[in-house]
Amino acid sequence: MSEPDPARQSRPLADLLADPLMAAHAARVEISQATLDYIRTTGFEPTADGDALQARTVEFEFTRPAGPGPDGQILSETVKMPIPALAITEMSPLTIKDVSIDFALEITAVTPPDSDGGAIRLSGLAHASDALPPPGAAPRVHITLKAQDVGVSAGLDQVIHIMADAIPHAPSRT
Amino acid sequence: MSSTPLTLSSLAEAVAAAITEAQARIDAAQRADLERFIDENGRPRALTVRLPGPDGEKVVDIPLLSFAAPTALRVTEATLEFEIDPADLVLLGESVADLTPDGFAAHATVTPGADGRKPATMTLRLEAIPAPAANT
Repeated sequence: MSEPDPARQSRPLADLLADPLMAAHAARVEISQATLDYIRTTGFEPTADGDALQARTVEFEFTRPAGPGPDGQILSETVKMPIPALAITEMSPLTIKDVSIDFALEITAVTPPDSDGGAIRLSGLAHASDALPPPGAAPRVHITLKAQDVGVSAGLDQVIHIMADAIPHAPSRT
Repeated sequence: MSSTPLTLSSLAEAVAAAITEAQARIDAAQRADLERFIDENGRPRALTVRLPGPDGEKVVDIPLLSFAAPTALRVTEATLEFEIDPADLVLLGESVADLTPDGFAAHATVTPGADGRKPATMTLRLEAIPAPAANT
């Protein structure tokens, strides 16, 4: 007898909802890491001694007026200016702001609450949202789940502020 | 299928509980992701950078969190749509106002079938109630 297709096995509704959300989370982590790698490689380069990074810069050189000379002619001076690469690089990190999950749930089991109470638990099969139920099939519920990026949590925001405040007071290492 | 009765309110509670459980897993994964930014001693991982300054070059540790702070993904709403026999509407025997799944605001609407014989469509919308901001 062939093995049952795992994708066709009845699963708790919480699993069916969590799986695509976890996939979105994993994608967000990869994007975040790619942004960090981009900043590290585009914005900085290793120093000669290798113990730290230094800002990768682009050197601009231009000539500007420097006032009148002794004979009244306008003097000019050449100015060289290193500009940090990150300051002139377009930085618009990708992220996933909105997630919308749409599927049809064929309810296969309704489990009553356990002795500790709680809610009834549903199990079922997930189908494409536009799949038509076959005649006599189990009840089907179309579910649309929406999730959003709600920003940095209040606690983490506090930590970031504390770290930002600490940087100017950090002991200097030269 | 089990013979456990599934009323409108128990359906709303079951879905709300499943969403809450799924959200808890996402929250745990998001907390675990902070390990990318914090080392095993609880210190922030940082880029060590030499920066020019008025007193010469100095070495500064810039926390990675300040470059790409992780933001939270939260379920905001769920909409359930299913067909219902108009006769069952009487059997539901409960007011839509009584739908109070934990952590969600529930709204239910019924759209009658086109010719009175077709099943009606019930739409149940669950909106997550945002957690109150922590006191600072």
